[in-house]
Amino acid sequence: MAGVPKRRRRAAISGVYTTAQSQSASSRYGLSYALEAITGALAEANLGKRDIQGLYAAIDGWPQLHGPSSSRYDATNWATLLGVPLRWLTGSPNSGNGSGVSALLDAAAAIESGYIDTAVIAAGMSAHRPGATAPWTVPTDPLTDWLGSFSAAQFALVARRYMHVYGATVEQFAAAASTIRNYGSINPDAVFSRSGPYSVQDILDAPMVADPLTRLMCAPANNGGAAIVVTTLERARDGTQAPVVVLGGADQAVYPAYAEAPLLEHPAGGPFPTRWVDDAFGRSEVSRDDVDVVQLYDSFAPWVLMQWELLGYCLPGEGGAFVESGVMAVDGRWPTCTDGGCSSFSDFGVPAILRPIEAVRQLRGQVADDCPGWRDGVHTHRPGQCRQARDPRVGLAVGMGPPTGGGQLVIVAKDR
Amino acid sequence: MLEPLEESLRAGTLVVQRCERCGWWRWPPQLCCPRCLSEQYSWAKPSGSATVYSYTVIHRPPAPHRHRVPYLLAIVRLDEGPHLLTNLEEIAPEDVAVGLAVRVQVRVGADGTASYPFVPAAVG
Repeated sequence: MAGVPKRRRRAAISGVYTTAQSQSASSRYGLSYALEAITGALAEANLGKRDIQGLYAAIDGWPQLHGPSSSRYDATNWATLLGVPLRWLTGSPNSGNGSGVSALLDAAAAIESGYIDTAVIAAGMSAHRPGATAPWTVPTDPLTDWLGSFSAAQFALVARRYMHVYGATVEQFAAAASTIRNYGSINPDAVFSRSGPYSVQDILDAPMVADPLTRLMCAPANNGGAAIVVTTLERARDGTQAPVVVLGGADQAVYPAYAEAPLLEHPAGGPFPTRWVDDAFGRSEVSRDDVDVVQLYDSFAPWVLMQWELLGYCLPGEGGAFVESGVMAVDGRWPTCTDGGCSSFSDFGVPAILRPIEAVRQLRGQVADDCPGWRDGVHTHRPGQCRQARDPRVGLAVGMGPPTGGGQLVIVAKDR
Repeated sequence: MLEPLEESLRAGTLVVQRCERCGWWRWPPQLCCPRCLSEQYSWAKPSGSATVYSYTVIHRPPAPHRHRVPYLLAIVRLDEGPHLLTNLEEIAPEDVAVGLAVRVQVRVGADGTASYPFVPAAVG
């Protein structure tokens, strides 16, 4: 009997697209942003709608349909809308804010196994009140309405506990926020383009939202959409851009986002399991040192420190010193959140999809900043002017919606 | 499923689910025990004593809570084990610390809605 065939196929990202990201009031539906992004990403991939076999999109409702509006993924709605049959129906519909990365991992696995050839991951949201607290993170349970909880408050609770256990400081949180916001400030496409530069003190001096989080440590809500086309590496080589290979990844859900008390430690005792992170590196066959550019999920600045620890780049409690050492800068070891992240580039409610998109742009060398030669891919790598990492080959992107315990991680690399 | 809890709160007592098979106390309410998966539980009255696990002073909340600022949102750990998201009352923000001993004080509003903030153990 012949042996089990080894996995032969590789999945690669062949198209990415981001709509304008904006805080202005908009009459567009999230679906409209998603559609624009899907069309744009397909064009970059040199594919048409008939090539779509799988699609997962996080949107804020189905305005054109009768019946209750649902933000849930619904393959039949999409098949009807696009006029194409869909053959991959399981793309992580319920993984919340991190769903873009989870769906990307699922799509890559489906493509590698030969189940489908091409999938599109998309997202589009229209914040109801731009600039306001994200409405989807305020619990509406009658039992907990009275609490006055909301997303920043939940992360503030985790941050306070983290400060208590490890001695982290607000200056360390502010260091992460200023580095990331300064990238966003020199990104012409960022919601907060030209808003900086920000010093650590500027971050600390911003109005307090939920102690210890100031407004500049929090990502505000905005409108926007994005899409990623994933296909076989062979087909990706026919696209208009160099393919970016999905090496691997992993995800983990342990705890509901925003619903109840967010704990730094596992409710049943001990730390949250982190084996999923090791699995992601193992499956990708890269080490942490092989990574050249990192896109963390910076919805709230303290979470950046904790993600470095979770990812195994430093020990628990060392995230603050790690960040303050300058690793995240464009001339540092791991340029991080180089588009300005959730806090400055865009947080349209489900912004996890934007993390791998920025990783792709970094690997392609397609980054707009203040370098005189950026249009030709010529960069100075000087902080405050440049946000392009130096010749990156491997990128890491995470989607980490919940305050603790879970997350999604994908590792991507240049084809050649 | 939550009627016994709501009724008890309106009568001034916080109750928490306790697994009838393994004795595990759990919060928030859910269908089965996360430890042994038993669906059999009772609504048990905890001692009401707890310690502060974490807290935050809220200055800029969403609209419905803006009139309350500054207020204290906290996580407390009941002596029986479960962690509750709650408010701290009858204490100044600068006097709160992780580890502070607190106790539950159920309040019933004029409209009949109940809440279960915690106050310093030394008070009331």
